Amino acid sequence: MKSVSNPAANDPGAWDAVFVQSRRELIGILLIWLLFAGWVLGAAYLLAYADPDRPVTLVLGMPAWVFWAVAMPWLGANLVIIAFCMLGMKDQSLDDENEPTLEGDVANLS
Amino acid sequence: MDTNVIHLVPSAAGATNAALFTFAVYMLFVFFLAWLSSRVRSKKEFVSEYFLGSRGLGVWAFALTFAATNSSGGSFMGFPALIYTHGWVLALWIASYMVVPIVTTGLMAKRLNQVARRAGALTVPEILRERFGSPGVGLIATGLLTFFMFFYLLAQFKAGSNILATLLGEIEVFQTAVAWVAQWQHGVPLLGNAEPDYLLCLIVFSGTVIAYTAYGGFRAVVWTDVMQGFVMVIGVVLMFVLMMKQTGGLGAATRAVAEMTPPEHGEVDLRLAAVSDSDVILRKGAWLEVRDAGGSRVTVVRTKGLTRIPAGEVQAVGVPVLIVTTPDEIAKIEANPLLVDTVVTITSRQAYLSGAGKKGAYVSVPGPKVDSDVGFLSIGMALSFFVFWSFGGAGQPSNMVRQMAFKDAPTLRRSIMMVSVYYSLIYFPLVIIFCCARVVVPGMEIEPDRVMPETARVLATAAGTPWLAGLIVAAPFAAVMSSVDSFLLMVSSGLVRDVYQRNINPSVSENRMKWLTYGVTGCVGVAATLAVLNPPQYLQNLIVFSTGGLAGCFLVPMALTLFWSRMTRAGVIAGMLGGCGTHVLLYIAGYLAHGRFAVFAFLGLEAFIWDMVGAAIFSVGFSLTSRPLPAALVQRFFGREAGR
Repeated sequence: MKSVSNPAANDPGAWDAVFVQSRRELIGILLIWLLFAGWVLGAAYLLAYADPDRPVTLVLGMPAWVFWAVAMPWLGANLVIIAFCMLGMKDQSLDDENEPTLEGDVANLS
Repeated sequence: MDTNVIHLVPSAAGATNAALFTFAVYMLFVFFLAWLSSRVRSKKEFVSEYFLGSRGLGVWAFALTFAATNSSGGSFMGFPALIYTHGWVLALWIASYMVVPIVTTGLMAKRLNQVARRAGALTVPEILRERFGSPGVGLIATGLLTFFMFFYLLAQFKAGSNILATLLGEIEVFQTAVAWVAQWQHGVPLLGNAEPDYLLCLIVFSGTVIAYTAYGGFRAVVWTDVMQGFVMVIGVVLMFVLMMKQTGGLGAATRAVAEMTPPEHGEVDLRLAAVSDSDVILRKGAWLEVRDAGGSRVTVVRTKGLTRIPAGEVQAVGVPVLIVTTPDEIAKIEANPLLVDTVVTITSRQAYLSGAGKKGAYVSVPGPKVDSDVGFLSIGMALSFFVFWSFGGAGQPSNMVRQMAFKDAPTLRRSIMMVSVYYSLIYFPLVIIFCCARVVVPGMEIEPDRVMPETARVLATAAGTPWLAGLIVAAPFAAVMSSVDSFLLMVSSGLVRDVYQRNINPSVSENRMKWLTYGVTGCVGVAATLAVLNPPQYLQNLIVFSTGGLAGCFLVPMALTLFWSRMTRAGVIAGMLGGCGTHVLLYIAGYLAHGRFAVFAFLGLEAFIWDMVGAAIFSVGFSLTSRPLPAALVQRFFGREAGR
């Protein structure tokens, strides 16, 4: 019986292309989140929570655990996000793309 | 009045008029942008333009309106206060902001924008209504959104007024205006009990925001957000540079902070050497020296409030103070010279439950805390916040409505990159600045929320450029304004578009919609203002309640609406109500457990996580057990040729 909730039941190519790509991007974004959640919380646990009384050393002027568990992943997250935006996200038509932009509106005022 | 009193210590250094001047310029610019946006709007169809800027946001507008709306007053007042009070552990508390831009903006934005276009939707409830072909779904969404958002508006109106009062507090012109308001409000119903400085700031703040939001609509909100976004980042960068210069670099400052031990809260008795025939006044924030019998300095304390010793008396007992415990600070802090010989005696002291007497408490985990023996941030709470900041933001309808408004897919990609860099320039530097602030402005535990303007004043004065303080302190005001205007517009669009136009009078004329929209935006703003004239208790808890509630109601149901074709009307209604119900139940449990308005952290996790679980179970369960949607409706939003 044909499912009314699945346009691709009889034709695998029937899904909307933006929907399919958005779903891929969603999975990619969740993986990025997991990667950095693991890095931040794992490093914080190992370098700080496992032994809170260990002497604090500094790296670039900040506590070493902050450097490895927050500063470095923050830098890494920026690089990964930029790479994902440039390589992992596709430019697709979302319909009605020819409407004027705010920047254009400002230019038109002058 | 002051002719009959003696001030025990000299007055504090007065604030310059820089903050007032900056504020005035800032306000003028806000109204200029509202006027400019109304000129653009006059050439376009009213409703689409007013509520969604005709879906024309480019990279700068989309990126900065998103960034500014998400940075509320808390980012520039509450967050610095937490950093100052608990130290470097706040870097971990806020660490999720490294992925907030991509999670909050990228998770659903492209699909949400596409579905909104296909549905012709201008609001979040309208998307749900069209996706499921059910006015009932739209109305329930509008009801939940209006309910939670109104609480949030109340909290932000109060926060905006408090920030303004803090920024202008010591300026002479402002104090004159406050005295005038105090005379005027006397005997006026509703106003009689409000603090005059708060009342004045509330009127100025709410009047401004209501006026430019109602007049300018979404485009004015976005343009002011862009300006506010620039003000915020410029303020932070300036503070960072001045702080590094003042402290001799980050390494020197962190080493100094590592030597600090948390202060104690306590009380002192003040005893004058002789009876005075005038009242003796001791101002809030005065530094006093405590000496032993031999005259050697034991410690220094800072007064938490104004103290008055009436004429004819020689002492004040039980004066609340902050007691410094770090030897280096005790030696370095200059006590205020006493104009009348006075003996200061500590009579009680309360140490922090976590971190007391521990060197390094401010540079290690879990961070010192005055009222908890487990410290500020356990690893479990760090996980909770890593989830909450990212996904809680993704579930905010104010973010969703922006995701409906960007122009095209390249705009989305570039905006995510821009916001990532923008947040990196704001949040991590804030942690560095206010950890270092412990070195340059000691004793701010007496009023942590003032640490931002006070640090700005000290840094700018030390740099010989006091006018810079005005620019820096405009940042928190910009942050709260950019949040309030967005939420105000969300509530009014829900009532005018979703309730009136879609359900009561679909054939309403454009002119009538226009005036109705102006009127409703104004009325909602005025109602929120009246509601916070005498603000309710637990306001900070209300913020957490409303933002968590919004995300609990909307994140999972909206994600399934966009990405799961089997989602049904029953599923989305059950998901929204299930998320809401879980949220409310955890607050009821919290009230029963704590005896006050607080959330119950089941298994030590944030309520939001359980809200998401509840919403997911209800959404999926009810969808699988209810009749699927008609094929045409599914095809419209999931099929290849849909919508064309």
